This record gives sequence, structure tokens and C-alpha cells, in this order.
Amino acid sequence: KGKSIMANLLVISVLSLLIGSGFCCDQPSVDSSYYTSTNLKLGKNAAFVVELTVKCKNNVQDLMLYADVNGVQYPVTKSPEGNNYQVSWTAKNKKSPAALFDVKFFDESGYNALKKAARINQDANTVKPLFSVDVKHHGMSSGFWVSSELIALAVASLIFYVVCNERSAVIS
Amino acid sequence: MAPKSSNFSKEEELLLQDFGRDLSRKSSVIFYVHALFVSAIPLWLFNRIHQMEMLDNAILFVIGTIFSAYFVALAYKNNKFELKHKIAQKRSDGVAAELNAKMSETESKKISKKEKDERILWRKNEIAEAESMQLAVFYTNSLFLILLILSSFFFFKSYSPMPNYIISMVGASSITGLLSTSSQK
Repeated sequence: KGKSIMANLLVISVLSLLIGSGFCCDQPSVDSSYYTSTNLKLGKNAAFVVELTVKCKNNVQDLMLYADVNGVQYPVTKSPEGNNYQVSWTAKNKKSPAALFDVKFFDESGYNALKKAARINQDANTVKPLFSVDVKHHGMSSGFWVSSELIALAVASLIFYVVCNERSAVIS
Repeated sequence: MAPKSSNFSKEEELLLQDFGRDLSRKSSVIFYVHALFVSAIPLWLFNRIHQMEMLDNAILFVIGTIFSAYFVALAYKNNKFELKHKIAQKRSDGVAAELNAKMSETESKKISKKEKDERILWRKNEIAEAESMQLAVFYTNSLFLILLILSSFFFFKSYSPMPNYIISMVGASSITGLLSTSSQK
């Protein structure tokens, strides 16, 4: 009976290791790109989008990720095929000046640890993220007060005026 | 029916060639190359600003560019013809002075007055040809581009990109060609 219990424990521990390693990403390599809105004319809120491809050394598929931006967590969506992920969020323009955002990504266990730290008022920085991505936001502006087509028209008009004068001098 | 060119004397043919509306082969090539280049410039505008994809609208762009190039080249030709005579008249005294200064006294005595006049005429024609071509190209290009900017970014700003391109290119090139047919008396 003792031997059977030991065997069961061994099987359970091996299974746990196998299952656990299947959901933990080992040494992730991340390829990321991001977009932040800079044109105030398009909207009053700043929009941020981070797209990334995550490859784990242990070839984990269907990884659940969560992003943490300045203490606020956002779910990360995954594409149906491949390891492409995307997270997006918005912020009011007044609260999002030009800044460098450190976007931390957590897997499920990291996210749970983060939530636990928040519940027991522990410092969230003690929870180590799976990886992080730097997002540089240049700030939002409404651009130059004169539109570019008006400048182009002014320059073209000036050139046309000069050439018309030249032509009139010849024809007269 | 107009008489065929074989009825003209050699001198008359030379005069027609120099002062006629027809262009030499070299001038035609220069004009058409310039016209194609100027007509292709708006492609960059419509691709970058109006977000029209080059490959998706390739056929439209090719037809539009060729259509515009034809009318712009026509405008070049008409403007050049109008300007050449005026420039030749203005440069007449200067060219005569230049050639007289270049020729030494002995050489001047050897050459007959007729030959001297022919040289002056040839030089005057050469200068008028070059200057009229450059001024015609400059004037036509600036007129075409200002019409294009006005139509594409102001008058038809709210139109979707494809009709905007068609109307702007056809309008700008047609008006440029049409205005070149007018003559000042």
C-alpha cells in the first residue's frame, strides 16, 4: 500500500511538473512594436497599442498574458494563429504627456502574485514580470497652426507670380 | 489643299523649321520627358497624402499620367511658340553686338553682309529656342502644379481619393493646355 501511494505521488509530481512547465514560458524572446497617438486633432484621448511576438525557449503555446502600465492591468489578446499578442489602452491627453512607459507583461502566475500583492498592500515591484517593453510616447500636439497645403499653395503662388512677371516682361 | 513641303525652297524650309510651330525631334523628346515627369509628381502626393496605393490604382495612375503628359506637352509647345518670336525680337540687338564683338576686323571684312545677317539670325534663333523652351516649361509646370494643388486640396478636398485624382489631373492638365492656346496681341 505504501509503495502504491509513493508511486501515485511520483506520478502526480511528474504530471504537475509537465503541466506546470507547459504553461510557464522559459526565457521568452520578444519582438515588439508600438503606436502612440500624437495628433490632438484626431481625438482628445491618447491611444496606445503594443504588438508583440513572444517565443518561449520551451515552446509554450497559448500563453495567457497580462500587461501592467503604471499600476493598471490590461488583458493581452492573442491572435488565433502564431504567438502574436496585442494590448491597447487609452488615457486622457492631460494625463499623458511625453513619457517613457515601462509596460510589464505577466503570465497567469505573475498576475495572480500581482493581485495578491495589491490585496495585502505589498509593493507591486516585488513581483517580477515575465518581460517588459519600453513604449516611448512623444506627447500629443495639434501641429503647426498653418496647414501644410496652405504653405504649399503659398509657395506655388509665389513661384507662379515670379514666372508670370518674367513672361509678361518678354511678351510686352 | 496646301502645297506639299517639296514645293518650298531650301531657305523657306529652313525658315519654317526655325519659326514654325513644329518641334524638332530633340525638342519633342525634351518636352515629353518633362511632361511625364511633371505629371508623375502628383502620384507621390496622392500616395502619401490621399493614401492611394500605387499597385491598386496602377492602371488609373498610368492613364492619368499619360493623359496629363499629353496636355502639358501641348501647353509647352504652344507657350514656346508664342515666346520664341518675342524673345528673338528682344535678343536681336544683343546677339548682333555679341557676334560683331567676336569677329575680328579682317574677318568682318571678308564675310559678306548677307552671311553676317544669316549668322546673326541663326544665333538669335538658337538663343530664342533655348530660352523660350525653358520659360515655357517653367511657366507651364508652375501653372499645372498650382491648379493641381488648388483642385486637389481645396476645391475637391472632400471627395474620395479616386474621383479627386481623376478630376484634379484632368482639370489641371486640360486648363493648362487650354490656356496655352490663347494668344496675346
